[in-house]
Amino acid sequence: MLALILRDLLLYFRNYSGVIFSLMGAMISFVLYLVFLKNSIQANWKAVPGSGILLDQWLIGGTLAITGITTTLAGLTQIVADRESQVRQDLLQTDIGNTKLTVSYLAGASLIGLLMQAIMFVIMFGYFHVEDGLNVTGEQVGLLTAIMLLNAALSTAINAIVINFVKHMSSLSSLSAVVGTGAGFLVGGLIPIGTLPDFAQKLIKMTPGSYIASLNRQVLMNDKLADTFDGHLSMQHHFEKLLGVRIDWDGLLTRQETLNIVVVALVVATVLAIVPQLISGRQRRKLMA
Amino acid sequence: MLLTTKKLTKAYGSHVVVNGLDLDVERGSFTAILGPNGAGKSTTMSMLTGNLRPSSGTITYASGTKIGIVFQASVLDGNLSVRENLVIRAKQYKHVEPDKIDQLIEQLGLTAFTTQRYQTLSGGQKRRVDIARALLNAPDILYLDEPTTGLDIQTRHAIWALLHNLQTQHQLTIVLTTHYLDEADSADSVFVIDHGHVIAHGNAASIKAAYAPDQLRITPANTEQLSSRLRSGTFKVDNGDFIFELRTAQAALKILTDNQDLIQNFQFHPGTMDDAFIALTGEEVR
Repeated sequence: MLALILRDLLLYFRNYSGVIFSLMGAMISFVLYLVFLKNSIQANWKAVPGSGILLDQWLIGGTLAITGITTTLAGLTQIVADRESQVRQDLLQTDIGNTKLTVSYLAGASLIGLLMQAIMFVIMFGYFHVEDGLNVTGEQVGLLTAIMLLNAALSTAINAIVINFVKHMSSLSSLSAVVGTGAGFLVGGLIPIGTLPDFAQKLIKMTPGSYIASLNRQVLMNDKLADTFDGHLSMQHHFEKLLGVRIDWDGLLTRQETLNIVVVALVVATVLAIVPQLISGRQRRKLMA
Repeated sequence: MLLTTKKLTKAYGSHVVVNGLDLDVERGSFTAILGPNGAGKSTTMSMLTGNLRPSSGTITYASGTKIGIVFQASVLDGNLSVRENLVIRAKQYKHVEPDKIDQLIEQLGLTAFTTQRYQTLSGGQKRRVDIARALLNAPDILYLDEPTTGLDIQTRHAIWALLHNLQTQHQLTIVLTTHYLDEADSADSVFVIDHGHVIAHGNAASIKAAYAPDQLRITPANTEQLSSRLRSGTFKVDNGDFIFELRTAQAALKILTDNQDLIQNFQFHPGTMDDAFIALTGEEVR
């Protein structure tokens, strides 16, 4: 199974244009922010000291969530490619079996998602460190890594559910384009959730990725928020709600509540992703007793 | 028998692709499944290899039979090297001898390009790697679905020689589908199938004997005399030539010697698999 995970990684990283395209969603978010959005959002928060850094951290949190979604989808394209050619049949004539094959695809895509989030983080942190003097603590990096892992697993599982319905590479590339551009909006990564109409806010709250973005932002921003608002809690909460640092479900969710939601989503999505595979595996005729 | 099928059938709705196929494959034999496009060859192959469930009928292997498959389209990864491809596939089997990959690289002549990416190889090189991959688990029976389609004649001969070598030196049972008739010529056992039926079975010689008579074309020196000497109905006349369809070369020799004085010229065509194939499956293009 390790060999198959390695295969997924090799095939993903050797396809350079595929790597770049899978980062497109994240790059759009990053560049759009730098070129257009940073100034206009910041203008609204002139009164808040250090709002530049806070917005940088906000952007990183959302962009990492997007990166996880788009790169794991790119990693999972191998399932469709293998199914469309006879590679899947070729692999299933070995001793690996359907379950392990499925798990290896999911593990490979998760690993790709984790690595690409780490790379995006280094790029964004490097830029904001030089440009705005942004810093992170070791603890923040540790927690972020854990959330990256969670995001990678969750995004993989959700994408895998969708991929089960995709039969051809041509439809998958259209899907990837839609996900790449849509993910930024759906996780509230491009535009602050609080500025959107009610329906859009509901849509974002139904997207598991926005809870990942929220967790990322809490890890990155909490200290800075406490400093900046210095005990003015109602103002801080307003800011958190507006930017989606914490998601509002009849009151702002705590970090623990947000984490619980993510874990439940992860479990449900994993079951939904794997069960159809197991059923189709059972249907496969066992020739060699 | 290593493999027996009884009344193997595959139907999609009312469309019957394979219709009550009875096949026997002997251990160590070289079997060719021959048929025009759409005859049901690939469907049959998919059922034999367990990738497609038959609608009805049975497939029985001798117990413990291991199978290897060379698919019609390539199933290895273009962006991985030859060795990476083989190592990754080998790891999916529980029991592959540690030096198996090196053995196969040597045996199939892949040494010169093991570090090259699969997608950069020529058609013939790719095919050899595909065959190496199919042999990783030391199969008892190797299936090849149109292994030489799209290859040049030299490469086809090389692949063919390789397969024969595997059969004779390593007692490998080989089953392949093809629509190249010359390939069926050297098989131990040929099943000609069309519309999902076996329409002829035997070795190439027996099929040719049954369905592709030898042809003798005589240009007479004296048409009337020769015509009166021969029994009418045993020949056709075409452009003034007399054409005989005969079972054996001996029969042709007898006609030629008996009528030597009346013959100006002659041509003799032994029956070919092409003739048998056309006789069996018709001229129509599908």
